[in-house]
Amino acid sequence: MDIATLPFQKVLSEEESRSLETVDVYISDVEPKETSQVLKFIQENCPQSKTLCHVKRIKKTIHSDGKGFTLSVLICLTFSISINELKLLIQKQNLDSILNPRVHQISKYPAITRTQFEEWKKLWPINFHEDPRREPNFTSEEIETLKSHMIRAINLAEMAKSCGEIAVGCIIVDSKSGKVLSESYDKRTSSKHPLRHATLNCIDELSMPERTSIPAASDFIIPNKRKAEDDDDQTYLCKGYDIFVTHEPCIMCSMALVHSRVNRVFYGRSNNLSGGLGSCYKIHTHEALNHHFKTYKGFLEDQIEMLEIDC
Amino acid sequence: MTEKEKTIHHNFMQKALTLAQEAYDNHEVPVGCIFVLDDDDDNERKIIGSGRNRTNETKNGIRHAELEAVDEIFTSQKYTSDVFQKCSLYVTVEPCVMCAYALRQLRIKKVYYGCANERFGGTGSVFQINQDPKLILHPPYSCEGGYYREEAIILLRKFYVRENEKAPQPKRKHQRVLKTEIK
Repeated sequence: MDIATLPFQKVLSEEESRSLETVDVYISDVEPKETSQVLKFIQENCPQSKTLCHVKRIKKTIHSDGKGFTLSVLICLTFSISINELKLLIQKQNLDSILNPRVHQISKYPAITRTQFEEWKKLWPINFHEDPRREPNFTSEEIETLKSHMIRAINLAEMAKSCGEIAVGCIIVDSKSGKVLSESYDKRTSSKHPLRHATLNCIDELSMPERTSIPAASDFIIPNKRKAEDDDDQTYLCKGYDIFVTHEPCIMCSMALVHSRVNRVFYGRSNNLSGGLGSCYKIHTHEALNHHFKTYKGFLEDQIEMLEIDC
Repeated sequence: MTEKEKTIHHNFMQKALTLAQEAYDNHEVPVGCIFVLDDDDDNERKIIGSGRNRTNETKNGIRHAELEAVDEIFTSQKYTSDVFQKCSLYVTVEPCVMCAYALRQLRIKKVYYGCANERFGGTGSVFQINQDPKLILHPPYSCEGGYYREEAIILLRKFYVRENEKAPQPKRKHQRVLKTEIK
């Protein structure tokens, strides 16, 4: 299914959503026959930086009339050497007739998404290795299944509202079998316990199904009895499971999903006041944390907005 | 802070450490905590709840010491959620991001901890959830580390060095040695 028509959007990491930032470098136009001599000079004499691995050394500009081209070569970062020092180096090697450095801006960071690549390469050519797993890839059948899960979460939110609770619903689904393993809603009002959020309740009920206070689904299985596939993973409660929740989980619930090693999260409405998966923090992609997961937002958002609640 | 005040904090942290030791003895990540109801008069300070890590026992990675203690307080039905506004938490390890925001929602008055939590810490190590001004729903709280820090670190190191006998295929940890030097 085309990304543009998906009923949800991927919540990008800081790196993926970053807009262009530039860094200054010295470049010089060179004659094609002199490039190898120039490259040798750069390699042997100029300070080189590992932070420039993402850019190409040479830029080829085709002339507007379509006849002929100009080659430019990237020498080094401006902060590693002054222009006068560089010019002295060039003179020393008797290259002042072929190298005439000037300052130019290039992208500071490597492009991760195709959008970044298309935009950033206009300044100076950059390397780009597209990771095919990065783009969301769903079939129409999968979308229908995902929708049915989200509708179930919305039904739970409606149930919560009718019980006088805050209307947030959440379910946990086995990604492979599609079985619903746990479901819950917000219970802060009835329990007078400020931490009884839907997501946290859903995780707790998955670990202790006997605690479940709402009718269990017919295909409910007891996760504690499931076969341990992997020695190390049996304590990770949500490994291989997807979460469907009507509202963006708060910071507490988002980190609980990291601790539980969840597979993917789908949510409807964003939560600008305390959201941990895109709004206030991007806990699902934070580089310092030891587990990352894909998160999709805006799923059936219109239906959730009709519940008219704030979280 | 007066010496007397410092001694009080150390005494409470000692109790949290006892719970961390209990966690260790039960093959849990050794973290323990207590909630103390403060009053203006020092003599009135009272422990209203305590907890220790139970993630292995419950097979639930979110059953951290803090959440265990909070649930104990609510289960006792002696207090309403307002009580946390007058409570200090003493926890042997810096609260993780999850617990840091849980404590903020509870409007905790103050948090004292032993050692920092570099992997998950939510009150300074990874994020600073306790003070973040963009989180406007609940007031910020202050957090102070270093109470029996070395004891807390040694307990954690002992846990990670110990071979986990319960694992179906124990990971070999022979090469791991307990480091006692603390920077």
